[in-house]
Amino acid sequence: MRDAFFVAFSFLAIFGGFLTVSRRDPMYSALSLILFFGAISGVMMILAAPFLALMQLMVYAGAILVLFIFVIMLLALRGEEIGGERPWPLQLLAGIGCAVLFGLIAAAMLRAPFQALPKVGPEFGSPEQVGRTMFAEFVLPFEVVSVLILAATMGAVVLAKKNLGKPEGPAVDAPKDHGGTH
Amino acid sequence: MLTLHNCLLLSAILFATGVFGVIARRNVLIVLMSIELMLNGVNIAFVSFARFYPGSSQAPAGHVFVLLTMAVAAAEAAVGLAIVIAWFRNRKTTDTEEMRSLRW
Repeated sequence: MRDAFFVAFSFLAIFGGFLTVSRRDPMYSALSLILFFGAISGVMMILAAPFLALMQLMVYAGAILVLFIFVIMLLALRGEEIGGERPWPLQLLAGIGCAVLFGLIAAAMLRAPFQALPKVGPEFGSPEQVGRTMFAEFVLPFEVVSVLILAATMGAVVLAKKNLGKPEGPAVDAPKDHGGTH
Repeated sequence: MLTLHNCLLLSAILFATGVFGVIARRNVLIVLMSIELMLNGVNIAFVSFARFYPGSSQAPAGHVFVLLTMAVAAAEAAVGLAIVIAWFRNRKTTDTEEMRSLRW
């Protein structure tokens, strides 16, 4: 039963990943990404990580994907704005290169000794245990990540502001002039 | 079959798919999504190692790493999409081939 679910979620994840990189329209890619994130969440559930499976759904499918879809809809890309595709010989070359990369990674990973599925307690991967591990052993990385998120928030706000890279001037004054005429 | 090797193979396939997306596609949004694909592939490797080597204390250190990776991925997506919006506002394109003002 568990094996069947693992295989099914794995193939769903691979299928979703292929759809994501192969669709021409970014919107279809983003929608395929939902399938991918859901399947990854299922794989994590099977690997005894229920907390991570939920975080996967909340953070990736809930926040990051909505951000992507917001941006895609905000840009409302048409025709040439989506951009061209690379010529097929280059894509074929990229595919071969990635197959070689996969072979290298797989060859390195398959050197890991065979490991029988160990028994873990029912508490393994629960929010309580993950939290205990995080705040007992990994407090410093946790705090550093908070600084990173603060920096990313400020960076995103500054970058997405209007008039980035343009001199302060007409565009900033325009609303004031408009207000003055009333 | 739920074995360590199969989980690692799944992780490697997802990572290679993401690399393909980054190399072969020209739309910057799809490149960002491919980076998410790669990060998720690595997360699967973390979780499977945590599952197959729980250690004597059974403290899931791999799960903590996955949480940190998720935070980094969220920050990366936010900053990347902000750059895309700023770029699109100025140049009206999402094609990476057009993004050469830092190249020459």
